[in-house]
Order: sequence, then C-alpha cells, then structure tokens
Amino acid sequence: MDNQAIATLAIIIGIALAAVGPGIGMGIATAAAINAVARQPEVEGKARNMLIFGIVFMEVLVIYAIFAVFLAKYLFNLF
Amino acid sequence: MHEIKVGEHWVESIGPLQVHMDTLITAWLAMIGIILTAFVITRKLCIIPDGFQSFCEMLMEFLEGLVKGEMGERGLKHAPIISSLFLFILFANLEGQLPWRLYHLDQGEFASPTNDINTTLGLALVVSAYYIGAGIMEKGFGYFRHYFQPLWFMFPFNLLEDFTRPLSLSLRLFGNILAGELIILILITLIPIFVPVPMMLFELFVAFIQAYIFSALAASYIGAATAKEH
Repeated sequence: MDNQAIATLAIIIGIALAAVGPGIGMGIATAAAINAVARQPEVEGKARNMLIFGIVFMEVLVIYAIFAVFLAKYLFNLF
Repeated sequence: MHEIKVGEHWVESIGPLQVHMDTLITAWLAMIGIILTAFVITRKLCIIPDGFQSFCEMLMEFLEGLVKGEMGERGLKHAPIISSLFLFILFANLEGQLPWRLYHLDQGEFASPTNDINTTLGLALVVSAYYIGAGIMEKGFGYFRHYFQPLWFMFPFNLLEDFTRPLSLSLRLFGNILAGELIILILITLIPIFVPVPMMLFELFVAFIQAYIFSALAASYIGAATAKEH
C-alpha cells in the first residue's frame, strides 16, 4: 500500500473508533430515559429535554474526530 | 456526477478581506427570509389569528418557553438574542435543502451558510461575548469571582471552560450540517434517484434540532453567568 492509502485507511478507522464510545453512551442514556418515562409518564417533557442535552455532549465527541480528520487533511496534505 | 469536495468555497477578495461569497450570499438570503416573514406577518395582525399567524405565535411561545425553562422569568430580557440565534440558524440550516445543486459554480457550491466554520464560529463568539457581557452587567466585577468559585485552584479549569464553550458550540453545528450534506452528496453520487430522499427529510429534522440545541445551550450559558449567588 502506498502512503495515501494508509492515511485514508487510518482516517476511516479513526472515525469508526471514535463513534464506538459515544454510541454506547447514547444507548445507555436513551435506555435510561425510556425507563424514566415508563415508570413515570408525566415526566416525559423533562426527560426528553435532558436526553437531548446529554446526547448533544456525547455527539460532539464524534464531531471532534471528524473535525480532526479535516484538520489533518489540510495541515499535512494527507489525501 | 459530482466530485466530492469538502470545505471548498467561492473565494473573492473585497479590499483586504478574503470573503467566501457562497456563504455570504446564502447568509444574506436567510436574513432576508427572516425579515420578509416578520414583515409580512406583522402587516395585518388580528385578534383571532389565521393559520400562519398562529404558527408564528406558537413559535414565539416556544422560544419564550425555552428561555424561561433555562433562566426563569428574569431571563426574558435575554429572549431577543436567543430567538434571533434560533431563527437565523433554523433558516440557514433549512436553506441547505433547497435545490442549489442545479446551479453550478466554478469553485464550491451553494449550501447552508452553517456548513462554513467561519459562520458557526462567529455565532459562537457572539454567544461567548454576550454571556460574559451579561454577567458583568448583572454583577459588575463580582462576575470574575466565579472563576475561583469552589476553590481557588479551580481557576485554570474555569478559564478553560470559556474556550471550550465556543469551540464545542461552533464545531457541533458545523459538524452536524457538514456531515449531513456529505452523506446526501455521497448518496447522490451512488444512486441519484429516490434513495437520498429519506436522508433529506432527516436533515430537515436535524436542522430544527441543531437550532434548538444551539439556542438552548446559549440560554443555559447566559443563565449560568447571570445566576444570583447565594
């Protein structure tokens, strides 16, 4: 493999790895929110609001990874 | 067949400045859209609202509810900036789903103005400056006491927070919009008919969610900066 192919592969694997942790976290958070609403249906609006806030902070981790990739592309001219 | 490019813009020099013309034009279009809607809707207001007016009233009540939920009644004086941010980001995000691809540019292409990091970083810095300013207006120089709040050695972390907030605000909006457009672009390159449509519909939802998130986070930052100390 030449350097360009290795760099592209590294980027793809990097983003995929970065998506694993937040994915698990979002699953746990969503499950907890569903549990909360099932136990106490009147708390639905509040639970949704908190869920959105929590998910947003997990989601930004993957976006940091994507951003790091584009930054690397421009800084080091990878591909 | 489209070539997939990321972060390409139509750059023009105006005086000493390098300007991304496509971002500029679509941002102005979003502003014109907001101003025209506001102008049309306030021409003939009635006590019993018709469809469009009641929709706009619902939107205003939603925004007031958002501000009240984060800051309580005292936050209503900050409602205008939160609402402006929400409306601008909503219009800007939705604009990306117009059929811009029919019009070809030499460099880059028309899309949401929020897929340019400069737009989102500008918005995030506005929020940053606003919450620091609001904190100083509310408490005077006592505002800076919160940097040392739980204990004095927390100062570096509290200072760091002022830098990570605009960073995460801008990157979140930019990343979500850009990722959505990339996915649609890839789907169009693979199968141009029918397949990208569900993703486009999902992008309409994402546009709303991102505008909501941005303004809710801005409201919570302003609320934290202006909170009464005990």
